[in-house]
Amino acid sequence: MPDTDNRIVLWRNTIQLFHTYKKVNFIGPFFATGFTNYRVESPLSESVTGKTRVPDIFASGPRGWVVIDLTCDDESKSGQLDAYRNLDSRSLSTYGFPAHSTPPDTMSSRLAFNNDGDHCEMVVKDSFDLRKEQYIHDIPLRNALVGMKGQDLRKLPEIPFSLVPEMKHYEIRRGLIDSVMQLFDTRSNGKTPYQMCEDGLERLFELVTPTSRQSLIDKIKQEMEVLISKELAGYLVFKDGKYCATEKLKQYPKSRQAVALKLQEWANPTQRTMADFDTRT
Amino acid sequence: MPHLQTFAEMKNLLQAGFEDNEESLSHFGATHSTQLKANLIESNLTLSELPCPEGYGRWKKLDVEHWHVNEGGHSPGSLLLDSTRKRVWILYSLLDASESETAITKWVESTKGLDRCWLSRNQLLSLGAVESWKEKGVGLKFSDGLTPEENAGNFSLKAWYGGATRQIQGLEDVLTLAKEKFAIYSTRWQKISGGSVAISAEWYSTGKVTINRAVDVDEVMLSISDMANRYEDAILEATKIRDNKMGAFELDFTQNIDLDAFAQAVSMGKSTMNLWLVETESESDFKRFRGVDLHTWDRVFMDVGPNYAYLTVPGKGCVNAAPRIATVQGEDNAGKTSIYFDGVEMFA
Repeated sequence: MPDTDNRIVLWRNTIQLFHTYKKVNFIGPFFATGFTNYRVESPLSESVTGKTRVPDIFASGPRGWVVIDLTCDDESKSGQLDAYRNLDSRSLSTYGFPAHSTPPDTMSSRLAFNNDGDHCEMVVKDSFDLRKEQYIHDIPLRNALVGMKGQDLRKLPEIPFSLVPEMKHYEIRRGLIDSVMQLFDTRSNGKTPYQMCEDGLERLFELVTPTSRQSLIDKIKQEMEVLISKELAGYLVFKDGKYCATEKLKQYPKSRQAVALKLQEWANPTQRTMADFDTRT
Repeated sequence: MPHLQTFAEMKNLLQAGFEDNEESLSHFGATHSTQLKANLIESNLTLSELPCPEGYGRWKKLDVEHWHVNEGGHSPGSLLLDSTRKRVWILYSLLDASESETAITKWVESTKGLDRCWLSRNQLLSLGAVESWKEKGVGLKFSDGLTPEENAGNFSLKAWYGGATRQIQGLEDVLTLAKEKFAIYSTRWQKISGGSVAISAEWYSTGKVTINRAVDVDEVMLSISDMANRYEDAILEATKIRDNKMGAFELDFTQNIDLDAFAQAVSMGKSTMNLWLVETESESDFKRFRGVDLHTWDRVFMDVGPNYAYLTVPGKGCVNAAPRIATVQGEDNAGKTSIYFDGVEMFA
């Protein structure tokens, strides 16, 4: 069983709760109740201390606001979520959102239930599940979340970032596929590991600490080393600090297919189906 | 060929072409009138970075801001560029139809940062909501591009409407049904003014318009500029969504597609879709892909079901991928295709 993209699944299935998809009749509970303004990994201030906290997601709606912590950790997020209740809603104005007169509704989002204290807990693995909904004070939101229970989440769309700092091994490889393919553009000047990290983290790049970023860059180097010495040996090289395509690949359909298959082998040692996803972190 | 120095001269030349006025045409060094064509070009460049189509010289600024004409090379004075809008430029062409198509296709495909404007069904039909315009024809296309050629169920139809359409009972119903099932690649329009035809034009899904007949150059340029404005507004809106939201563009197809054939085609980067993708997850009715859009080499993520697809454009990738993929895939294999974000139709 290969490693799974648990962290991306967690983020993807949580983010998509803020959206709606017509064809498959998916209406995310946050979208349905007007929480359409959200921010990821953006700082807010606590009301008394002024201390800065960076929730994974916060959103503003017509009646109030919510703060969500996403985690694959086994540890309880109770303390962190307690602290989020002290966030000052006036700092929402930094993002053009209105201030609210009440503390935020706080909740965790996970791939399996844990005990996160007196806070609502969402599970967003294959299907949606919910516990402790009584801690959600926004009644329409609470009802929408309860109504979501059992909804299939396996076929929701990808989100724009494909890497997050804690990823490892095959997760990183899958997160790099598109960035590697760009190297074969005849006009490409190649990419440094830093640039590949920037591609994969996308909007998270500026928000990740330098230490986490460097750790991810080191992991990217390890995985790319395998690719250039094994699956795409002769097609890609590491030169002057950059990964570059050689002139070996001719832009013909069969050649492209061969590279695509090699990338698939590198990133997916066995062909994966959605049933491969489990809750391991 | 015409030698143009000023904006007024350019308009006089176009007007003379509409009137087929030999005397006026000869004043500009032209020997015959050529049907006016305009191409809406999606641009991520500044004009200073932009070459002329290969072999057609270089851009020379006219006496007004944002207007340029080609000089030197083949056919000087035959290409006129309006770069007033930041993201959508209008390239007017007085070249012969096939020469124009070849030159502009090559120019767009070889210049990184340029693309065509891929007009959606609603954009192609938008003149229907404007007073004085009448729809006079339609072109439909379904290439069945994911099916081997010997078994492909192609469909193509080009119809010009008029009073005669009603002489065959049921013909209008058939056309309506076909329009609902297949992608529209062109629409033909007439603008009626004072009881006579003021403009006769055909718009194509590739963002091209041909002016078959016209009376007044200002009216023609205004109608083309309206379409450019509409497309630019849609691009800016989609860019805002890309930057501020993390949901996907949803492509809604009327035809079911063969997912295995799709996976095979995109793994090779072949077919008119021009997508080179690696399959990362697979179920019988849903597949996920990551890769590049070979038009621009921007990264794209596509999650594809039997009659829908989700498109995510990471980073600063150009959102023009959404209408392009919808248009090309619709005409190739997916039938009538609409683009939505959060349930709201985009590029409409």
